[in-house]
Amino acid sequence: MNPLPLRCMGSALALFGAVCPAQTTMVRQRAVHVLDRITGGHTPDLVAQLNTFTAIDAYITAQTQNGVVSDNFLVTALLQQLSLPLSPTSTSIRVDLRKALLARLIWGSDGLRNLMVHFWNRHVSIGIPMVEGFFLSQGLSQPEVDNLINFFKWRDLDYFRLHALGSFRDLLHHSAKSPLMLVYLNLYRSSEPEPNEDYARELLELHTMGPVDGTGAANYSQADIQLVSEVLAGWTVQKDPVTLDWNWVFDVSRHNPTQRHLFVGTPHEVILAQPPAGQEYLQGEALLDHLAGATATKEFVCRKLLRYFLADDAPAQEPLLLAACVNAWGSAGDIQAVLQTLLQSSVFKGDKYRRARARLPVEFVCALPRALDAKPYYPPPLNPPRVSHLAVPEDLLMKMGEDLLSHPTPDGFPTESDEQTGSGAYVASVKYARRILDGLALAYAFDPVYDLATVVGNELLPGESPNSPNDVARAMMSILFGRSTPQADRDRIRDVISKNGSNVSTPLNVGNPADYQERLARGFALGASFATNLAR
Amino acid sequence: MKRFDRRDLLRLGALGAFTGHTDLFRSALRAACDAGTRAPSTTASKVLFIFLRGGNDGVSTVIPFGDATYTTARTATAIDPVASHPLRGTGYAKLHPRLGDMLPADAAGHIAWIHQTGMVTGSRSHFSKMQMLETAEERSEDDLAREGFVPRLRAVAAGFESTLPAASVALRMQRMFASADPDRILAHIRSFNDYTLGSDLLADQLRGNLHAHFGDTATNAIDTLERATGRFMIDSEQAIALLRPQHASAPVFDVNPPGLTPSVVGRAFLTDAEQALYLLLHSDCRVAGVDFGGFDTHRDQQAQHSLRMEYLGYCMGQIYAATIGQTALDITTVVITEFGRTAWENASQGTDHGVGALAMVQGVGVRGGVYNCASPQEFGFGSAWTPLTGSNPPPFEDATPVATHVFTLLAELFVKRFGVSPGSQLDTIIPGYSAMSGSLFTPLDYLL
Repeated sequence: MNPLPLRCMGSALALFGAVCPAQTTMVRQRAVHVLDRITGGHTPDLVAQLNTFTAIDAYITAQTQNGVVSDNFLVTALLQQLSLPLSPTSTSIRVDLRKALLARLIWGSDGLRNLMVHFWNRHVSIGIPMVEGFFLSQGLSQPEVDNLINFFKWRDLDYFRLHALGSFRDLLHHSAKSPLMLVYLNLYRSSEPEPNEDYARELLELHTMGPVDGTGAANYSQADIQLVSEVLAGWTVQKDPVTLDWNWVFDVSRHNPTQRHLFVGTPHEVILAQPPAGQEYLQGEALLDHLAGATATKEFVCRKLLRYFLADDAPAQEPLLLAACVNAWGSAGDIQAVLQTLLQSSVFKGDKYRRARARLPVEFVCALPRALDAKPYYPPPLNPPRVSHLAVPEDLLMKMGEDLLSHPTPDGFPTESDEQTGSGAYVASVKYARRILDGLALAYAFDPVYDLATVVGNELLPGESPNSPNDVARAMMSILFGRSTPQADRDRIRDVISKNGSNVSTPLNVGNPADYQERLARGFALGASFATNLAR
Repeated sequence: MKRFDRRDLLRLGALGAFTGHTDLFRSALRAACDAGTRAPSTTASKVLFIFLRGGNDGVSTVIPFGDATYTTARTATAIDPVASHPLRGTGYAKLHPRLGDMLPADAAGHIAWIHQTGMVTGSRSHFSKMQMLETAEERSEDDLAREGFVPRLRAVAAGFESTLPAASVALRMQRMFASADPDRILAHIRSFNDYTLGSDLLADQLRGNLHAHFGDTATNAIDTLERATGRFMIDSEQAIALLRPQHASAPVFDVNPPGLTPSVVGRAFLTDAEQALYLLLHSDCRVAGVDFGGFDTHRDQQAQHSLRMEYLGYCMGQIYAATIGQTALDITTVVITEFGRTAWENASQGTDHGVGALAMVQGVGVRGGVYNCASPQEFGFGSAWTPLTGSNPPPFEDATPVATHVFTLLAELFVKRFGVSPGSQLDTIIPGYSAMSGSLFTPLDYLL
C-alpha cells in the first residue's frame, strides 16, 4: 500500500490546524492520546485516519471488540520466521518469544488486545528461573527445559491473547491450571495435611481481591489463606506419556474432601460444599468462580485498569467511573464491557490524564519505531520481512527492568509512574533511542528503502523546506509528540541537526542522503530522550 | 573548594548546549562530579543495606537449638546442630553451617544477630511488608506510603550534599531509595558498565542538550519527576564514568570465586554488592542498597536456603575483610528481610510466611552478640527467646513473634550513624516515631 495519501491528509490537517486551529488541534491531540494509551503508540497513518471525534470513537469500539483474533500480514510473516515453540518436543534451539511479542506490539493491528496480553501477563506474573529447577529435576536437559518452558509460556500468552477481552473467570481458571503457575507458586507440591500457602496467598492478594477493600477492611484472614490452600491441595501437574506435554491433574490422595466455610464476616463469605466423590477438584473450581464474581475482585481489578489506562491516582479521583466499570463487570468479569465503559468515557478521552503517567519500558520501546513508521527489513524483491534483522533491542528492555516473559516476583512488573523513573531506567531509555536510531542511520535494521528523509518529508507543511533546520526540527517534534512542543526543545533539535557527524556546522542538505540520515537520527535520538517522551 | 550545585550545572549546561562549548560544559560537569567521587571524607558514617527478598527464615540462619520445640517443628528443614557454628557469648543459638565466613566478625564482636524483629500490622504479604519496611511507615494496605526512607534521611541529615549521595545497586530501584520529590531523587545504578550514555559525538550532544532540557519548566507532575530524574541521571552518569576505570582494575573483592556452588542469582547478588561497597569506599556515597532474592522457600527449603546462605556468608566475609582496616569510614552493613517464616514446616518441605524475622548488622561500631535470643539464665541483649509455638494469638499464629519493631533498629541507625535528632528529624524519616511506645520500641543499643 502506498501510504502517501494518508500522510498528505495528515499534513493537510496540520495545515488546516494552523489556520483554523481549534477543532483540528483538539482532534489530533485526542487521536495521539488515545493511540498512545490503547496501542503501542501513535503512528503517522493512524493519526491521519483518526481525523474526527467520531472516527476516534469508532476506533476505540473496534479495538474493544472481542471477535476474531488474527495477525496482520506483516506480523504473520515475521512470526513465521521465528522458531516458535509449537510443541513440547520441538527441537528448535533459538526461540525468541520476546521478539515475537514486541513485533506484535509494534506492527500488530490489534493494539489494545496486544497491550492487554501484557496486562494479564503482569497480573498473573511468573518468574521463569524459579520454574526451571522442577523441570530439570525431571531428567530433562537444559535445552529441553528451555524449549518446554517457552512452549508453556507461548501457550499461556496465546490464551491471554484469545481471551484478553473475554471473561476474567476464564483467565483465572487458565492461570490456576497453567503448568508454569502450578510449579512457580508451588501448588504442585501442596498436600494435606499442612498444604503450603504460596499459591493460595497470591491468588487472593494479587490475582483476585487484594488484601483490603477500598475502606481498608481486610478481605481475608490468615485462616482464609490456610483454607484456600486446603481447597486447592491436590492440584498438580503430570506429564502425558504420549504427547510429552505437561498438564494440570487432580491428585485426590493429597486432598481432604470436606465442606469449607471461607471469608467469614466479609461481603464475600461463602460455604463451599463437599463435592461428590471422584469430583473433589470441583471445590477448587467453585472457589475460582466465586472469586471471579466477588465485589472485592471487581473493585481490585477495575482499580488496576484505571491506574493503567489513566493514572496512579485515578481510582481515587474518579469514583463514578470506577463504579461504572465495576457495574459492567457482571458475574464473571466481562472485560470487553469494562474496557468499553472505561475507554469510551469522557474522562479517558479528555485532557485530564494526557501524559499523566510514565510510560512502561515496553511502551517506550514500541513508541519510537511506531512514531517513525519504521518497518522491518525487506530484502528485495519479494521475500518476507526478515525478523533476524528486527531492530527490537529486547536486551535494553530488560535493562530497563522489564522482561516480557518473566518477572522475579509474583506481583508482576509495576505500572506506577514512580516505578518507571529511576536514573538507571533513564540511562537505558536514552541508550535505546540511540540504538534504534543508530540502526536507522546504518540502514541495517530496517528496510533499506526506508529513510528518515521520507518520514520527515511527509510531515513538512506546505512552504516548509527539508533543508531548513527550523522546519525539519518542527516536523520531527510533531512526529514524536503529535502536538506543539516548547520552542527551546525544537531549537535543541535544530542545533543538533545543523551539525554534521564531525560536529561542524554545515548546511542541512537533503541531497546528501547519508549525511541527512545521520543528522536526523541524532536529532530523533535527542527528541526521544526528552522527558516528554517518557510520559504517556 | 566551592562545590558545584545543580544550579551551576544547569547554567553551564545551558551555556554549553546553546553555544556549542561542550568542552566548557564537560569540564564544569567533571569538576562537579569530581566533588562527588573524590576520596571519601574520613569521618562520614556509611551504611550498606542488603535486603533478603522473599522472607528469610531467621530460625534457620541463627538457629535457636536451645528451644526444644525446634526439633519438633522442623524435620526436613532442620539444620544440623553438629555442623552449625557456635556463636560468641551464647550456647542457646548457633550459626548456619554455610555462614562460616562471618565467624571472624562475630569473634571480634562486630556482628549483632537480632532475632524477632519485624512489624505487627497487616497481612503477611511480601509486597505490603516490604513497602512498609522500606518506607518506614506501617499503614493500611490500601494506603501504603511510596517514598523510601533514604530520600527522607538525605533530606534531614547532614553530609549528603555530593553528586552521588546514595545509590540503589539492584535490578530494580529499591523502594527504600525511591522518591517522587524532585529534590530527593537518588541514583539507581544497575551496573557501572551499563550506566553510561557513551563517549562519542552524539553522547556529548545528548548530555549537553538534555541537561538544559531537564532544567526547563515542567508541565505536570510526571514531567517534573522525569526532568528531575534526568538531571540526576546526567550528573551521576558522569560521576560513575570517573569511577569505572579504577573499579575495573581493582574491584573490592572477587565476585566469581572458585568453590561456590554455581548460582545465577548468587553471582548477581555478589556483583551488585561489590559495586555498592565500591561506591561506599571510593566516593562520597553514604548509603547503598542491594537485593538478594529467592528467600521465599515454600518448598524444598533446605537446598534453596543453604545455597543463599553460602553466598551471603561469602559476601559478608568479604565486606568485613574490606572494611575492617577502614575503621574511620565506619561502614555498617545492615541485612534485613520483610518477615520471618512459620515455625512449623509444611508438607512441601518448606515454610510459609511468618512474622518475626532476623536482622544482621555488621561493622566495627556494632555491639556484637545475639539479641532477643537467649535463655533467661544466659547473658544476652534484648529480650529472652520467645519459644516456638503454633498457638500464638493473631497475628503471630505459627510464627515467631516480634520482640523489637524493625523501626526501632532503623531509628537507632539513623540517630547514631547519621546524627539525626530523635525528635522532629527522626519523625520526618519514620513518621510518628516519637509517639510510638511500648516494649517493641525499647532501644536495643546495638550500635556503639
